[in-house]
Amino acid sequence: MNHASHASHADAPGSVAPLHFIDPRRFKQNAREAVNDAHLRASFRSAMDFLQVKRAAHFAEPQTFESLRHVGEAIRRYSLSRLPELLEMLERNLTARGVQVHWASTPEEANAIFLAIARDADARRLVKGKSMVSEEIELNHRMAEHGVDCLESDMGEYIVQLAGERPSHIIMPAVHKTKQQIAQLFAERIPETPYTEDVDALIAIGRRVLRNEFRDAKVGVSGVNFMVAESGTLCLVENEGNGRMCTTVPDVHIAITGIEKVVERFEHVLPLFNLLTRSATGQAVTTYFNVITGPRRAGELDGPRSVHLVLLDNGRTQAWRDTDFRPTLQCIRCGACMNHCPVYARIGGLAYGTTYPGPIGSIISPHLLGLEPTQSLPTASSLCGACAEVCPVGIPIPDLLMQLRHAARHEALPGHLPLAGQGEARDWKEALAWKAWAWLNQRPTLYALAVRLGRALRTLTPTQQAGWTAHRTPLKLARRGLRERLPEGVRRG
Amino acid sequence: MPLPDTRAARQAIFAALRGVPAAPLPAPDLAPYHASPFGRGRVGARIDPATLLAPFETAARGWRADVLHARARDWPAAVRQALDARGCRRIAIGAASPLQPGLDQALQGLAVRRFEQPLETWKGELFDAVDAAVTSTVAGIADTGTLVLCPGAQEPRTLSLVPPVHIAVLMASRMHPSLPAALHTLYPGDGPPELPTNLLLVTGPSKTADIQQVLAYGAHGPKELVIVLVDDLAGDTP
Repeated sequence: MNHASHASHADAPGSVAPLHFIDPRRFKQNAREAVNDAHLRASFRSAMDFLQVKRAAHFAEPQTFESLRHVGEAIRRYSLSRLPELLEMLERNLTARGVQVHWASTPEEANAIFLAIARDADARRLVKGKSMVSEEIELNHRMAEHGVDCLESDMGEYIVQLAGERPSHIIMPAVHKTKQQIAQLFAERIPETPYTEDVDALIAIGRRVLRNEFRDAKVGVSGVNFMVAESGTLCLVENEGNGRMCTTVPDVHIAITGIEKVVERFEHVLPLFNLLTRSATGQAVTTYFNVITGPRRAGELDGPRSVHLVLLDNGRTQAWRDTDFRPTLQCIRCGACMNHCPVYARIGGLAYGTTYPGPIGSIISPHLLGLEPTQSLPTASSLCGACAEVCPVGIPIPDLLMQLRHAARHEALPGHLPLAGQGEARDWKEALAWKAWAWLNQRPTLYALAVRLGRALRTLTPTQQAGWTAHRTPLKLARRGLRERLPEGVRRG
Repeated sequence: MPLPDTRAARQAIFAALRGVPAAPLPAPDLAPYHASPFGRGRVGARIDPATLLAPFETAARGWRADVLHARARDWPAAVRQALDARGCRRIAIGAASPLQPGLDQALQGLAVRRFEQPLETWKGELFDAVDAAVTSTVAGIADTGTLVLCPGAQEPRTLSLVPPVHIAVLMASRMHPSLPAALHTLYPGDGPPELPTNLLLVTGPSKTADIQQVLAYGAHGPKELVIVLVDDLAGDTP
């Protein structure tokens, strides 16, 4: 196949390491390992500081941010409130302009569509622009199983793919890697490439290798930042130009995104674009804002002859149907919440084991994957609220984390449908202990008796107390309770 | 191989969405946005483009674009100067560039490749044997140093993407303060805009900071962007 024939050529795209999966079920262990990795800690700390400072420069006046965010939040909330109608309007307008719209409930369905389009176009390779939704469906992996290889062309994604890893940040996928590691990777995996730590030289290598791929690819793949229902338009935001390459040069363009990314009007996109670039990388604007309305029209001399849009659900309707969880879908994927999260900054993105890491990942992943594998993620927060403070579309992330913690341990509240994996983290011993606690607290005489007994046996308090004593001193009843220490007049009852 | 029929998935998604009573919110009010610094010039009197040229240049240079000033009668010389300074000999242009006839005058003596055939018939040449492309622009945005391009049959999309140098000619009269102001001028009215196949905002040359946040130019698109800013405002008197 095409790939193999390139192998000895200097401009081959490089041999890709097999993908290394990380399980979100191992989150606590992953986090522990990550915290002890000095390189990783340093990479993330400096990157997060850099991104925080750059963003802050744009919003020096809190009022500037607040008023823009207010508009952005209103647009996203309005769009979601009309989601079914807007999706129909979008489909109608896309179809009228010649875009083929495909629907997928699951990653499997989405992958089947990609495979069929690739086969139809007789393509053995798909050249890809950055798309987190394609990561979500594990497109590269699934296509490889059918002999179609996917080549990432965003520089960060290309690096991550060469290393057989997953993106550790939704905007800066290779943020966990040092330039020395990247230099080593290029020298090892791209034929006839000398070791160099010069960033311009490394980028020039990536440019040279990927340029041939853009020229020769039959099918290009991209994500979408915003979809406009009224005009059937797809908007892509980027700096490198690889997104434009993937959506312009190959004969076929397949875009994939989640159903929530639609807005009604083109003018609704503009404030969101202003918010996105400033929140993500602290840029007033990106190099390219690529607005696509349909395939090549009669008389035009470039652009894809066919454009496909794959609209993925994959758990989004579960978040949508419950108005408490619906704000999760307001997200425009800027990554500001992770850039400002004290947990994310210390453990990095890979430890989460999910496509979307950090605070937004902890509130979206339970809908995409169910609460069983993701039950630890909503606990990966001190609830400091930094994420909600910087979110450009006003998602109440800490509230949603709390609701998911509750959902992981309890039955659905009255009037709410259960989430996938509802109650999965429930522990009967813990539940029983709380029940006993509540029972005791409702019986003052018994409570007083229990406290007296506890004090009498104080010296027998175990020094090992399940998970608690791993990082803390043992819990021990005080000799005198707070109530007894208060002056007479303050005590009640 | 026929493409899969995805109507069942569509039905399932809409069934899930319609399973909840509809409660549409009122349309968002964009007035505060238009009244904010981000919406400068979107409503009210047109801001005099002459006052926007200096801020535009500062912003564009901030993104590492080069800016050359020219007058309406001599801009072709500025284009030529930009090309010569970079040693560009093989130049691609749109077959029906709105910059004609001035453009032909600028390119005299150079190897000019007109984009007359579909891309697939000369892809290799465009990728590997063109030094620069010259295109028109439909608007400039002063606040961010951004160009608005409306490529199409007359000037295809790949011209501003594939060659390593992009020379963009911008008329000063097309300068607007902000993004919403520029787009509202291009697509006035309250109905859905009739958008072209591709509408494009370009700010500076292609770049990336994906390796340790070090900014590098010329990632995949043009390594250099030169803006020839043509003063067509005050007639042609110097």
